[in-house]
Amino acid sequence: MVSGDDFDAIRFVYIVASLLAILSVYLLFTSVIVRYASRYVEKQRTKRRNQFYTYIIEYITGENESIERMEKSVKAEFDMDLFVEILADMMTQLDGQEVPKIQSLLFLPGIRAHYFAKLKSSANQQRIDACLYYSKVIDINDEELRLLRQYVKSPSPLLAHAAASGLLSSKEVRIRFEALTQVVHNPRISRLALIEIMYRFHTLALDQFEEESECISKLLVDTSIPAHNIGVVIRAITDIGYGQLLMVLYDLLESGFRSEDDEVIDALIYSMGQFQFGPAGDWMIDTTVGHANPRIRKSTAQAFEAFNDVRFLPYLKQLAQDPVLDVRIRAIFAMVAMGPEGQTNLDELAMQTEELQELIGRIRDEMEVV
Amino acid sequence: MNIFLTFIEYAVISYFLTINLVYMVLITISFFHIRKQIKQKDVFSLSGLFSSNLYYPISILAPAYNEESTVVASVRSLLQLQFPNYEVIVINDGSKDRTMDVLIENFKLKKVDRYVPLILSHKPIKAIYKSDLYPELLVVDKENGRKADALNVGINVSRNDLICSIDADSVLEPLVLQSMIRCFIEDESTIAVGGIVRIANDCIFENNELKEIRVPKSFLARIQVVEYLRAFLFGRVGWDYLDSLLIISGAFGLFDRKAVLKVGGYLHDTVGEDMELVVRLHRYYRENKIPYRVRFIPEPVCWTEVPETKAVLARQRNRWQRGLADTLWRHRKMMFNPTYGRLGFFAMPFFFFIEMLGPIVEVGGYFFLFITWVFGALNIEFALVFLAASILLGMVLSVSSVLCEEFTYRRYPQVRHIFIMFFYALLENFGYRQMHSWWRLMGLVDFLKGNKSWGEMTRKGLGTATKQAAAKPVAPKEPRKFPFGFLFLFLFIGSGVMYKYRAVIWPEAPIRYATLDPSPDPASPDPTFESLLSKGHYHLVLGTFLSESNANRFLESLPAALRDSAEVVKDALPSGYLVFRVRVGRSDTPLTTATMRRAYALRPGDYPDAYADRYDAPGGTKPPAADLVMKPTSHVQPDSILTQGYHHLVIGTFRTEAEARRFMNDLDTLKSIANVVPHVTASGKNVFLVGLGKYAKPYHTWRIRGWYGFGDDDFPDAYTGWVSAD
Repeated sequence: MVSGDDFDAIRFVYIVASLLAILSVYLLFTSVIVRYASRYVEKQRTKRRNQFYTYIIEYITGENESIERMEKSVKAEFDMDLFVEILADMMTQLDGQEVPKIQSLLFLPGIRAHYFAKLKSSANQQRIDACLYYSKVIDINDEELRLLRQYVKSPSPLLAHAAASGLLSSKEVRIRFEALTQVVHNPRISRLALIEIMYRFHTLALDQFEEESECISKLLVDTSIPAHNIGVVIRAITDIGYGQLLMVLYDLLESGFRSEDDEVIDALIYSMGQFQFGPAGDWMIDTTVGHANPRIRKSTAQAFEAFNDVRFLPYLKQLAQDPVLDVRIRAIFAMVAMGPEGQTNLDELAMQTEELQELIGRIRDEMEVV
Repeated sequence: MNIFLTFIEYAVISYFLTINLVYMVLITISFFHIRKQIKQKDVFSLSGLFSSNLYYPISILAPAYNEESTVVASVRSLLQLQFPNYEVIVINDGSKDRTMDVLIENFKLKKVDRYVPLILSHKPIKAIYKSDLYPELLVVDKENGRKADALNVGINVSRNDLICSIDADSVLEPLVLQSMIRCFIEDESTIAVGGIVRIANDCIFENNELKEIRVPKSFLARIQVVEYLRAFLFGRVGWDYLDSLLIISGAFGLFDRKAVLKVGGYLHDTVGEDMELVVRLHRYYRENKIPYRVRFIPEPVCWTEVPETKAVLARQRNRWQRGLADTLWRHRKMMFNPTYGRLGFFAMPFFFFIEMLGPIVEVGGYFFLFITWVFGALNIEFALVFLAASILLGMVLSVSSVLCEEFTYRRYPQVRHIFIMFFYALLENFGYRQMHSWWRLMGLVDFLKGNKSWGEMTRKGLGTATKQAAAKPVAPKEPRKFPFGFLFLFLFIGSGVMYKYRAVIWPEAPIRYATLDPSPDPASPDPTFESLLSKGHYHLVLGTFLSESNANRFLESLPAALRDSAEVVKDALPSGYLVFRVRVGRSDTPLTTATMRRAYALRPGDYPDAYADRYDAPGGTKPPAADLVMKPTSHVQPDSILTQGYHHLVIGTFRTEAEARRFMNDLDTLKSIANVVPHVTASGKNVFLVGLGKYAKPYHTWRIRGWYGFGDDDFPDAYTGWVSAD
């Protein structure tokens, strides 16, 4: 093994081993200290939380409406974060008149100044924390607005999303629309994140459907927006239920708007189906039943099912013989759902091939039970 | 031989350093990455998303094979998850026990017809059941085809965009799906997400929810707690940061169904289907240049029961190793291939050289230690210190993961749990680590033999607050198999020990002198054979003096036989001392022990009286440092190490005690500090050593150095280890 005069190696390893032993013990005791420290912090949090709860509840119920008392107790960063956390939690639990009262507490000068300082920070994490605070605040001043607008354009998806959330908490449709416009132009935003933003844009409590619809209609015709984002916007507005936009969507479909973008066409077909807007079916017969993209053919079958109109049965029958299995399955499901006439058509279809017969049989079985 | 041993030695040390360097880098990355993830987890609020119908619904696929003791609790826990739209598909993979019956009884299952497109091939489905109680529960009963086959059935049955594959014996925390879906919100190109797996043994579950986290009681499970923390908290988090995650645990992973279908689902003919799928996804997306991400997040927890018996654990680890080897072999094209970027140049080589070959190196290292020990070439001191360093390095890594846990999730509630984990991080190095390496090595052997069996896994079931012993069937006791592995190990070590001490065990055994003595007859020894020293191939430094006059005086005191061939040479020690050595030898550069051994066809360890390497006396050209003086000592004559009484040199080796004593008596002034001690050489020869020193077990050179304040290289003339003179 190691030769006789390799004492350097032994001494070196010996020193390394000693250092490692010291490091192990150091890490162990650091772990223990961290544990005790976190317990202490948790104890303090519980104590402060109980105190803050008492103050907030007394403030809401009118027993003690003194703001100064809260201002005095919420001074350290630790307290501010906790205080905001409690308020945010209470806002999700309560509704009615209490909510604006709780929201007003978010404006305590110290808290606002603290988060504004964070918003101005050069560290992304600080900015994100601040943006999340502003996502709970309704009234944003100009300077805060300027920074939030700036951050929406950030290359960091987290900061951009957080800043958009901050802007979307505004009562003003104009500001929310600004945030939405920025976000929807981002080609890298995920489908789910965009849906989340769309749902935040629409503020149920404020009943601003008209204004919101007007803004969205502008978005829909903006060809600089990536197709997949427009597709998501169309699906989201359908899902939220912007009925005012139905005709806008139909016009887009009929005029062949972005007809080269399958995602937009697919979303428009989905929208027509969800709104059960039968007149769009005629256009689909001409255009999408024989579309090259199987996903669009499948959506067409789904839309026909939603229209629940027997005049679409021949086309469903055609789709039930589609080369793509997924489309066949969807079309057969649609035909079964259409009742006796659909069943008759299916019986005819089942005569054609054994494969179709089996497929129809199994889907029928399933639909009877499920 | 020496060159070979040195090569092996350096190879092992370099390997060891590389592994630990990589681990250190990973843990540093992970520490910061986890903290960042925790801070940013609230950015994506899900309230809007869940108000819509547009988020991805999830199908949870839970393959079950002989899980009658755990399946009901697991399914109930799955049905309690907090996610607006998901279905649970339990796939009974041809269980031989009552898994299907308990599912039917507990969930009021009824047979249904459900069209299942055969997108991925699998063993036939016997029936599909739906629950009357829980509409989101679907149970598929199929013929046995192993986990991958069952998962493929689940994928075919599922109609949702995301599939979550879990083990049916696992319990998910209620918010796991919400945590995991955040990855898909954050990045559209995400195709797979893994979560952390923690150990549920001895934890308390109430109403199928985790009530109290406890550290398991069993030794093996406790060790696995540390192992899992290490593997998940810094292994996978680090790989996630580097965008090179190759494994998503089969016990818990969320996948984009379309992506899985694109690559053809799970492979049937592998036992590492979870890793294989992830690597195949990487490969497909990289080859087709489609942007994608495979993520790991440590927040969502899947609690799972781990094996508590050696037999089951051995089978599990064997299987994991086979799966790893199989996956790396199948996708060997990715290795060092620029098409695969970081995966090809970093992750794949890491898994190949460190995870796959690790057991070979580790077991090989033990074997090498053993061999060098048998042949007397082992520097026990170095080996022990090196072993201690490697254990402590492992400890540092384990304790770092415990610290990481403390800074982040603090799942184990009590302070004593930290100490338990620390203790087991230490304990795992003694026995468990060696066993583990052995199991993994056997896994590699089995892989080479083409073994693709899964192996039976027995579960005792997850703990509940109220004792329900009657409800839980006890896992069948496994038939005891003859431990061939241990027998082999025992015979191997035993034969080595017997070989080393065979002359002691059989003292009457004929002693072979052939290689040492041209006259093999012990009755009439060759008169010329007295000692290696007297053969003229001298290489020993007999004394080291601070003054030339003392050295000369010492030289004069030597017996005539020695004096004629001895000389005084000036020498500068590496630490700066100018000394005078009394050296015996015919050449300026004395022969090394290895040369001597070769000359006499001896074995390593036969003559520990000589230093092993060349000693190149620089000839005293180095001036002494003015401020360096010998440390004060209580000894009377500090002139020479040899005359201090703590000597440790063997100056003669004889076949008979009489010859040795005669030689000793000739030593004149050295006689007073010389001893004759019987010695059995490593090659089994009974010899008598003439040693200079008061102790039967002479002191170690480094200790003598310590006393005198010399540097490490000051005395290469002495052997470094103990002589077992007794």
